[in-house]
Amino acid sequence: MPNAATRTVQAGLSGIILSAIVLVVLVLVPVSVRHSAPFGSVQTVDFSRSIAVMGGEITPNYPGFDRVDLDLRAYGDGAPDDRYDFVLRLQTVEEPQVIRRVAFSVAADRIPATRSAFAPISTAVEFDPIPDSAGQTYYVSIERGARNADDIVTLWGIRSYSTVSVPDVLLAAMDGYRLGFSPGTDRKVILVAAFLTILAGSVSAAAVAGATWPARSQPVGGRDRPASRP
Amino acid sequence: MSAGGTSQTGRALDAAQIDAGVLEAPTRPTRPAAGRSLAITARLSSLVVAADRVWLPALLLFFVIKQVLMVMLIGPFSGHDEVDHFWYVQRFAAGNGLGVVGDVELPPEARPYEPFVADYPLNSEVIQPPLYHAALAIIGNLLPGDTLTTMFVYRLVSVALGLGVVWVSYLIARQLFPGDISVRIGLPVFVALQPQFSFEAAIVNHDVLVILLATLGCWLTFRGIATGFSWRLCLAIAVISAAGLWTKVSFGLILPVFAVGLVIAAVDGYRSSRTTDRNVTLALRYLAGRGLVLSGLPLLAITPWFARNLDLYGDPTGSARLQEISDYALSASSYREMVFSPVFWRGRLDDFWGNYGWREIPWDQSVSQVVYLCWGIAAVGFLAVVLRQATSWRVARLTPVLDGFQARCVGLSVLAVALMVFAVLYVGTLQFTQSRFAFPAMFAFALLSVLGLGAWLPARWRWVVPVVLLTGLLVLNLLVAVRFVIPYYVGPGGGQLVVPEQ
Repeated sequence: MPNAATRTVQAGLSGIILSAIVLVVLVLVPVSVRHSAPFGSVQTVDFSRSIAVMGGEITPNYPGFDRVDLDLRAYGDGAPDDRYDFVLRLQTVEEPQVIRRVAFSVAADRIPATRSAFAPISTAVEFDPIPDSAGQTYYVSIERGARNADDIVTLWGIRSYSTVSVPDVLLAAMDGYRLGFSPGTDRKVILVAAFLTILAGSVSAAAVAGATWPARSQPVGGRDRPASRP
Repeated sequence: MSAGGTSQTGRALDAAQIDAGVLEAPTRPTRPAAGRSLAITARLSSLVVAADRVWLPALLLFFVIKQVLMVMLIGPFSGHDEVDHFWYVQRFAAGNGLGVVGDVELPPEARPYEPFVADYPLNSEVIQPPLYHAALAIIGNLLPGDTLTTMFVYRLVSVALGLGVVWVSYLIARQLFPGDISVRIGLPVFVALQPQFSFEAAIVNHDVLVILLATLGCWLTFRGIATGFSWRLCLAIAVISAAGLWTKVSFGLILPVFAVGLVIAAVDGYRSSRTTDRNVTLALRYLAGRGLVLSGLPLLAITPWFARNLDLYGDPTGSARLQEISDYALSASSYREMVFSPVFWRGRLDDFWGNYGWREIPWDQSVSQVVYLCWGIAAVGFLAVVLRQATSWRVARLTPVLDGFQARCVGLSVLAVALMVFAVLYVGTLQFTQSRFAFPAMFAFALLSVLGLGAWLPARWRWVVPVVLLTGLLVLNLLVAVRFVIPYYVGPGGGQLVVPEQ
């Protein structure tokens, strides 16, 4: 078994290589980020009338807005063919204009009025990305299809998403957070801390992998020992 | 009388023998006059198995760096009760004494954080015992910085306390399973990377000190089961318990674990002595004397606080006052309603893993369902361990999974989890409850999870457990930070971040 110094060097080198791989993956693989909203979603309750309405305003805080997750609830005995048809409309608020229109259909049993605790609660609707969505306000509304125009369906909440790269999120963090230094220093501190976290995580993973490696050929103690009864 | 002394000697040798083939024996300082720092280093080094002297420092360093990053990324004062705790500390730092709930108001600087305050403009946290806050106030007095800087420094103290939890979790793993690398690594890895614990250890909140003290107390209790409860050990546990109670009264719910540990040690001592030497009176004296120190001293220490609460609020813990926080009391429920509500348990699972701050940053269901599935697999595995263990006591040809010492300590860990789950339910009968009230048993959740995951694999493949656990938790933490946490606070188009005025 190599000594501690050798293992430290091995873990360090492996960690550096691993962190380089992680960084490449993070740069190349896009992620779907959820836009900023308290409790994750925009509630579509009209408090003045105590009802849920079929639309709500959202303000994506990232560019590339391309998806909403809708919490739809259908009441009643079910729709024809056990499916509900909908049209999602996305319009700008400043100059009311529909910029995305998506027709979609959902199985009735996917959007029951009451659900078990662990049942999926959202229906994802994707559309072409809106490049300049950051900071813009949109009105998302749902219209029932012709087949089920008279059925009672409500929209309880909307979550919205953009697909961006991890460096985009890191840049937003560097620009957005204030640590009490000068803005330039804040940016550097966050960048260095993020890089060190990836490096230290990689070294840690390499060290754990290195520590467990010889264990495969060794008898494992502890739980495999015969019991020593008191 | 040295309860359990015989078995301990056997156990210590056993552990060393198991390690001998694979690991170096623990080293002790050979130069007694080499200086205090060398002695401390040697002492620390003796606590770490030789094979762990690379991955453990790497993990601890990673924990610190990750936590420092979290300290920066979690918006100021957006942690649960962070506003109240911070200004409770500042109250002491300014030389003001204990306040009375209902009278103490938050300062105007707290106004931007009203959404993060339970009972604005009142500071509800002055209901809490003041150890954590008074200790931080000493640091606060040394800081010339502004509110933001002071908050960051207090958060760094939480990082240090969290580091202590990870370290003691390792010590527990080493104590219970010295020859099993999957548990030795898996347990601290689980604690270090558990997302909600990481959040807790990056905000200003006394919970992380409670977690550290509870973990320390359990470690010493396990030591007592192994070596017997010396007076010194009893005193150490009593001091920890008193500190815990002076940090948060709910610490009292972990005390039965220490008491049951003492009973186990007494029974072990009685049963391990020769039949002719067995003396019930002696065993009872052992139990009563040490029990008095273990439970009497902490209760005596906390009595002034109970008396004050009784005088001010009409009940010793002040918990009834919590029901007066209007919105929170509306969330109160009965035990029956909570226990039989799947929605309640789904919410507690969400709290346990994610739902940062005041549930402001939940995970998406797709992420949490994967985590719950993995944890469910671990839970089923742990049930299999229990079943196998129970069966082996009755069927002679079956080898038990755990030896006697391990079974006792794992049993106590189950008790710790049960008591902390009760704590969550108890708070739920008063007000809005959260899973973080169960976090003093975080090491136990980790231990049972790691044992459960290992149960699915044959012994020669259990080395996979910590590797998979670490990889999975690293990916989870990264994913959650990038997809939910950072975008919640900041983005090119704004976010929920509120920075204090300088």
